[in-house]
Amino acid sequence: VNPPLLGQQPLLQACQRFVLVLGAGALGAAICATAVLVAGTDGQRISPRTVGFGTVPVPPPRPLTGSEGAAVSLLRNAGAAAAALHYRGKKLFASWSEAGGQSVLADVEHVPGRGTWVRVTSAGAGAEHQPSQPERELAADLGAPDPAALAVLASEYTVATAASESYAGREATVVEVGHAGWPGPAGRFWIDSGTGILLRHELYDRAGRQVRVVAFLDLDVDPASAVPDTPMVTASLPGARRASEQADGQISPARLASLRTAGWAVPGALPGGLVLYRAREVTADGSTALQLTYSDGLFTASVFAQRGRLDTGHLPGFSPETVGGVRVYAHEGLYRQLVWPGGDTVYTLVTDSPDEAVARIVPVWPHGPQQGGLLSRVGRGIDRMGSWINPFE
Amino acid sequence: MSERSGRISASRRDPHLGELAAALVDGVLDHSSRDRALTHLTRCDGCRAEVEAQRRIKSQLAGLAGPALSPGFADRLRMLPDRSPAVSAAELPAERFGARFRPGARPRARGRALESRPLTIAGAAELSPIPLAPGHSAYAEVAVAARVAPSRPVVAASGPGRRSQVQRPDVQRPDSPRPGAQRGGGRRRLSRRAIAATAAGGLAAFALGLATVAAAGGADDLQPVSPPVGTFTVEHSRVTGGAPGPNPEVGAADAAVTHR
Repeated sequence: VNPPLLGQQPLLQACQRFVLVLGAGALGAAICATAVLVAGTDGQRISPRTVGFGTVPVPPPRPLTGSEGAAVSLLRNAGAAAAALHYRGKKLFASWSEAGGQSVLADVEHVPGRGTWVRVTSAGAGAEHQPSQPERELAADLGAPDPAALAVLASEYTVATAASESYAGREATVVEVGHAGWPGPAGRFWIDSGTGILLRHELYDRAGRQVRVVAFLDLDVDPASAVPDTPMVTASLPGARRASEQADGQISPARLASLRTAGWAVPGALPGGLVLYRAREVTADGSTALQLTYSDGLFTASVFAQRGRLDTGHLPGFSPETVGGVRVYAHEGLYRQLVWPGGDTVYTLVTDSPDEAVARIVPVWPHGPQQGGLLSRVGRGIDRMGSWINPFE
Repeated sequence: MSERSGRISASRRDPHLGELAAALVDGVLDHSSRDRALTHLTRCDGCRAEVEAQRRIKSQLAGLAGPALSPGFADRLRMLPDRSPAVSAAELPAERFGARFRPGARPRARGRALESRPLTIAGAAELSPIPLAPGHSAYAEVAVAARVAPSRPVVAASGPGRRSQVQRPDVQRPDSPRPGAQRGGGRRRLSRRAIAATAAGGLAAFALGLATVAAAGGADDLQPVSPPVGTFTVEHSRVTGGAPGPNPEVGAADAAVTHR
């Protein structure tokens, strides 16, 4: 037996143990770093700046048959009539989703060139007789037809004119909108044969359930206001339209491209055939939000993106829910409103789409922990430390 | 209430919806009745709750599926032995048996054997316990083995060129300090301590590394955001007013009711 070796044995064991401890720690750190990196690249959970968004293919425009063209023309004229005529009436708004329903009764008056006034007279969902802001004024000529929306409608749906019906004491032409994969209609529109005003419309989900009704219960049209006999298509004045859009915060394609480069999530289309057709910058409550509006011609969705950390303490009436696997704060009104954080941005979705479509739209956007969370902080730390040892950075 | 060509109209002047709630959910009311019902819903919490309940029940019923079989049930059925004194499957209605497992598919060889095979549904013991003849079924053999197991020695490891190591779990060595203890127990205790120390040290090292990385990540520089959802809703309907489906007034009505 060699005495010096005996003396070195405890030291050797201590060294072995130290190496084991370091190895175990390094292994744990490596596993966690891998998990953080994987979470950062899977499902856009960490930062939208690192993620490129693919766009859902947009179906090409489809040539319309003669009857389809006539039906689309009726819808286009309905929008023009709503903008050009002076009318007032009592209107019913009702909407349903899996989470509940909402119905509102309001007096509506539209004055061409001045605007539309909406005065809520009664409403369900706990706000009965006490609307927080009973009267709202909208900007002028909101009902101006949008050729882009109608073009998308014609490419996504079949449009046909059904038999005429009597509705609210008026003769109405019924336009039926259908979808190839749906068992029933996707929407029905009752258009006043005399004035061209849209008297009533109903929207349905894929299962044939009614999800929205907007209907005049009574309607008075000022006979002095002119009935448009030709479609008032704003596209015929491209210069004027572009100017008004820019004044309204409309974003040019070049600016949109630069926003994409800067890391903003701007999908060109959403699941269900909703295509991006408006992008604006909206200033509200002192902060600026990027508004991206999508439509398939029948249903619409706007996503408002704001840089910052979601303050959940100021979301009255919202409750946490899981939609499409994403934790969101949701409110069910005439529109469905969802708010969730994603990376360094807060997203707000306002939509009238059916539940199954909403469940597919939400996961497309960045979601997950914000910068204030430990995981995102660790992710930033790994990025930063990686840049220290990366000779190419 | 009267029914005409599939559409129901309300003829009574009932202050509440009553049975019309179901008709409203089913979408069989005519326009005027539906609008009256919807208008009533704007004022009546009770009827609104009833309509919501009806709608929810309808959705749940629509989503119901048939009863699910336990996993591996079909496989267990196919593993049944050929001989059994029980009832032949041929005597049973088809929909009670194999037809439910593979709708529209022809049974394979085992499945064909199953048709002519007696129904010892022991895989199907969940359905009805049918006695098995001992010695004639795999299940019976398992049961017999299970009965004799406690008195048999347990073979721990064996193989060609290797002596079988036989353990009797219920017999203790006289020199063992506790059941299951073997020679070198002190060494094992030592290695356990080493493992525990290594794990604790590894955990500490990991925590230290995590803290370092988190510190390198820097502090949060984001401003808190409370989205003005009411304004956003109006802006949404302002932009989408040109599409036929949406209505510009909806956003105003929604914002008026729900958001300050």
